[in-house]
Amino acid sequence: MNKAIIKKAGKIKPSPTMIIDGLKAVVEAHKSLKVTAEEEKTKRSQIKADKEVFIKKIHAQKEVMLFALDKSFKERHLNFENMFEKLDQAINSDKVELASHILGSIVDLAKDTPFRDIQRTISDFHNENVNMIEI
Amino acid sequence: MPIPFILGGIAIGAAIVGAKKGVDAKSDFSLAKRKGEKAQDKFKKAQKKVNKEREVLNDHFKEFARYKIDIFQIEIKSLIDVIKKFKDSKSTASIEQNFSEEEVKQISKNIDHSVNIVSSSLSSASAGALTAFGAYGTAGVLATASTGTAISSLSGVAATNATLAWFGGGSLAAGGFGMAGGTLVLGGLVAGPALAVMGFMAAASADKAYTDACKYESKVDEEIEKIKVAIEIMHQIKERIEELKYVIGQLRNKFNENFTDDNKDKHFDTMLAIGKSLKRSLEISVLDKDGDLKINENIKSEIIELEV
Repeated sequence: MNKAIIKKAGKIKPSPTMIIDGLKAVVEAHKSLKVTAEEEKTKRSQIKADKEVFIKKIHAQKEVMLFALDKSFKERHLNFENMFEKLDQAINSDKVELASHILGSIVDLAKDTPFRDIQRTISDFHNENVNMIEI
Repeated sequence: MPIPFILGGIAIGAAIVGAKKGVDAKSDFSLAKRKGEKAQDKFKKAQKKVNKEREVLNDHFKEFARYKIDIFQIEIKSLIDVIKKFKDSKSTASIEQNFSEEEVKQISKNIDHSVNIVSSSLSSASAGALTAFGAYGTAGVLATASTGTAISSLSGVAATNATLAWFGGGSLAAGGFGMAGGTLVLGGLVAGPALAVMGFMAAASADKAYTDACKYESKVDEEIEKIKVAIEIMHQIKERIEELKYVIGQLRNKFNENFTDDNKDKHFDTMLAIGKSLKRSLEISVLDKDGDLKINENIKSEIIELEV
């Protein structure tokens, strides 16, 4: 199509005014294109930078959460083991009241979910206003 | 005359540049489209992965539910049988200390309920009941409406199903060629610059389309990171299930070691105390409202409290 237009247009004689106006339009369009290209390039750089910040933040928060949970689960397991040991000792010594007391503590610890402590950490992942998380 | 010759050359040059810009614009639009489609594929893969993880977690809940039901039907049933045997005779103070009459009734209902949960879980309508039983414990009766859909919200931060709008790059005709093409009738020099302008206009749109594609891709990448966190949380929920299984398992063993149906036996009171703790441990919710992992309110409304 472009070749056909060029060939056809080539047969018509343009006036000097038309030529100058045409050239002006080319220059203006070219300028506008350059400006747009630069603007879009800047926008894309900003998009990339923002994404990198967000992802780094998510990674950091995830690491904190996993560290806190891992620590919590390990500590709790040790506590359970100790309490069950003490329970065995109480049962073997026929100390029913002590055994009841230890059993109560075991169930209370089991009820106390480790997620409670990191609940805020988890919800902060979705709070765009939060930039720092404390443990 | 030299000037028209030069001007003619410029016009042809401008036309060629314009034509090239038009071709570049077309390929830039394709690039933007490809970027968007690639990001979309990535997001779909991530969604698939998180849904798979949800299924795995649901299976863990079901397995935990069966474990608890097993204890209900064996150890807790034995405990209740012993309690009923001696409660009638009112000969044992320790029974009354550990279990009120209402509590005994409730536990008996829970035992019956646990049987129903198993049998109803075989039907697809109540397929989620077993899973929910594993997640929420024995504190409530679960409506048959608790389905896998409800469970999908249990992980709280689980993957979003948000669809991201993708800017569809318009065709070159819509970009401006169509309109400008209508004015192409004048001399070769005008046609040249006019073609160049159209090409530049098209290129400008493709540039913006590419920026939009980059923005879309960026959003997708961010969502994928959130999905990864959701998957990690699901792994941690499995850890919590294992923790409760450990505690319940230990209590179960100690109950069996001390079991007796003779109220004169020195282990009788100990057995009652352990039995009570075992029953309490079975009531513990994995996804507890106090340690709430953003449980969907719709799920809560489906849980009906047992009436004593």
